[in-house]
Amino acid sequence: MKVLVFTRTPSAFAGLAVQKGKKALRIEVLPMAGVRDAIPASANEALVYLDLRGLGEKERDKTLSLLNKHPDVCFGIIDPAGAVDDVAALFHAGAVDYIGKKLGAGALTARRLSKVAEYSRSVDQASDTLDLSEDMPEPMSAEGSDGWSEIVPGREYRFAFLYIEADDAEELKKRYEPANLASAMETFRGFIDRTVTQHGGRLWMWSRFGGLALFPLRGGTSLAPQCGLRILLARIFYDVEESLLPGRLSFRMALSVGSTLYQKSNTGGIVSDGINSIFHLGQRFARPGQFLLTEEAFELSPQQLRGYILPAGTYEGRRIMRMLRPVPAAGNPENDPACET
Amino acid sequence: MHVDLMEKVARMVISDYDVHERSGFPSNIPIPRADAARHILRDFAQEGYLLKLIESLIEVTAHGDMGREVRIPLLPRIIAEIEEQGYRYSAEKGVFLEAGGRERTMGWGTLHEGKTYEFALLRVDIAGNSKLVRRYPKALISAAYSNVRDLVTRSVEKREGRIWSWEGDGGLAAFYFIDKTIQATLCGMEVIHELFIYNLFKRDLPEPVLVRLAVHAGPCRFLQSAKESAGDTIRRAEMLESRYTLPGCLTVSPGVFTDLGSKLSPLFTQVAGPDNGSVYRYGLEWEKK
Repeated sequence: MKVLVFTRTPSAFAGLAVQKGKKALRIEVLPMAGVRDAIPASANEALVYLDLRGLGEKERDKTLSLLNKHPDVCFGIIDPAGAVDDVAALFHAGAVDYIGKKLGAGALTARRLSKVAEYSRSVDQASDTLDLSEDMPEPMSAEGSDGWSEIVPGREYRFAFLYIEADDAEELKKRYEPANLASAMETFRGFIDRTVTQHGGRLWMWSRFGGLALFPLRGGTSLAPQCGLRILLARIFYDVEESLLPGRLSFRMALSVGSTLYQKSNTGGIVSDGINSIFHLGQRFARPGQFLLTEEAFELSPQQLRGYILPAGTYEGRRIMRMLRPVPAAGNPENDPACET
Repeated sequence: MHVDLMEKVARMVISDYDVHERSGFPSNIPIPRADAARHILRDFAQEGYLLKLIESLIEVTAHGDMGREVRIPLLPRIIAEIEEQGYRYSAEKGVFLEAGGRERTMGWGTLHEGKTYEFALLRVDIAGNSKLVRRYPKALISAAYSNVRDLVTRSVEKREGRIWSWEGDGGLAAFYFIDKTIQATLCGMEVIHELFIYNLFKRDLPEPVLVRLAVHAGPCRFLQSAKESAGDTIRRAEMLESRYTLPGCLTVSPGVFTDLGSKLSPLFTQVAGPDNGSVYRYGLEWEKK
C-alpha cells in the first residue's frame, strides 16, 4: 500500500521514506500544496496522512472538508497541537488514525504505519463483504412498555439507528456566522429531538450538524421508520416556523438496525460496528435530502409504508432502500429547493 | 404616570378617547392623576377593553414613550391577577390569550361581539361526503369524521386559531393575530400532511378520507354565534374551497399568497381562479417512482 504524508515540514519525516525490506510500505512525504489534487486520486489507492501543523484554521477546515467529500480515501491526521475538537467525527468520516497531542508527531513511525495500513485494509474488507449483523453476539431486545425501561446502561442491545445530518455543512459554515449557525443547528437538534421522542426514540449523539437517534426494538418492531416519514413531512413546517436560517435546510437520513453498548453519556468513545456502519451509510452513500433504509430497517416498516420505499442500490454488501420524498403541488421537485435528486 | 401619557395609552385602544370629555372636567382644568386613572379604568371596563388597556401599558413599559423609560411598579401584579383569571400574556403577539386550562372562546376572550376585524379564514370540507355516507355504516362515518375534526382542531389551536363552526363534514376556522395568513396556510398544509398519516396508518374506513381546504383573508364581523356570521370574506373562502379546490388540496387566494414569503410560496402552483384571476394550490404528492 502507498502512504502519502502531506506536511508543511517534509524534512521532519525524512526518515520514514527510506524503508527497506519485503514488507516495506511505499511512503512518500509531500508538500501540503499538492493535497487538493492528490486526495481525489488517492481513493482506494493510498493511505493519506495530513500533518495539521502550520495550517491556519481556514486551511485546516478546507482540507478536512475535502476529505469528507472523498469518503473512499483512508486517512490519518497528525495533530500534535490538538487543534481538532471532535476527534470521533474524523473517524465517522473515514479516518483510520489520529496522532494527537499526547503522542506527538514522532509517533508516526514505519511500524505504526504498517499496523494502520493493515487495519485500513481489514476495515475495507469488512465493509465490502460482511453482513455485520450476522457476526454479532446475541444482544438483548428491550421489551418493556416503552422499550427504554428495561435498558440498563453498560449493556449491549439491538436498536434501530436513525442517522440525521444537515447537508453541505461547509457551505453553511461559509454562509453564516459561527454563533448564528450554532443557534440554528441547536434549533434543528430540538426539532429532531422532539420528533424522535414522540416516536419512542432518543437522540443519543449529536455533533454540530447532526447525530444519531436510538429506537428500542420491541418484539422486533419500532416506530423508527414512521419517525423518518414524520420528519420528512414536518420539514416544511420546521423550515417556516422554527428554523433560524433564511433558506430551507436540506438534510439526509439513514436508518439501520444494529447493536451497541448503551451508555447515557460519553457516547463519543463507544466502538460499535453498527454505529460506524450507519455513519458510513449516511455520510458516504446517502445523497442530499435522501432517507435511506437498510434491508433490515425496511423489514421494520409497516406494510402501508412499503409502497413509498424503493431499492436504492448496494452499499458495503447490503441492499439499500430509499423512501420517496414528498414534493409540492404539481409534483414538480424543482419547486422545492431542498429536494435535490 | 402623568395624565397626558395615560390618555396616550388609552388612545392606543380607543383612538378618539378624551378623558376630559368622558369625565366631564372642563378642558381648561387639569384633571388630578388619580381621577383620570379612575375614569379611564371605569370606561375601559364598561366597554370591555380592559385587557387591551393592560396590553397597551405593557407595550409602553417595554418600549418607552418618545425615548423615555416608563415604569409602572404595580404592572407585574396586575398581569399576575389577569393570568389568574385564565389568560397568559404572549410577548410575541403582544396580547393576552386564553391559557390552556381555560375554555377557548371564539373571540380569544378579547374580540367584541358585532365588531369588524381582519381575519384569515380557513375553510375545511370533507370531499365526497355524500358518497361516503351512502357507502358506509353511520358509526364508521361518525368515527372517521370525528377523527378529522380532532386533527383539524389540534392543528388550528396549535397556531392560536379558533374553530368557528363545524357541522358534520366540515367547518370554518379563524386566525386573528400576527402572521394570520401564514398561520392559516400552514394549518391547511399540516392538515393535509396529518391526514396522509391518518389515512396510511389509522383509518378504519376502507378508503382514504380527503379534505378540501381554502384560505382567504379579509374583514369580517365577529359574532359569537358563527352560524349567523356571513359576509364577503366567509363567502369567498367557501367559494374557493367548493369550486376551485381539488380533494386533498389547499387553495389560497392571491392576497394570502403574497404574504407567504420565499419559503412557502414556491410550494404553491398557480391555477385559474374566479373572475379570470388566479388562485394558488398546494397538494401533497410524492416523487415519481
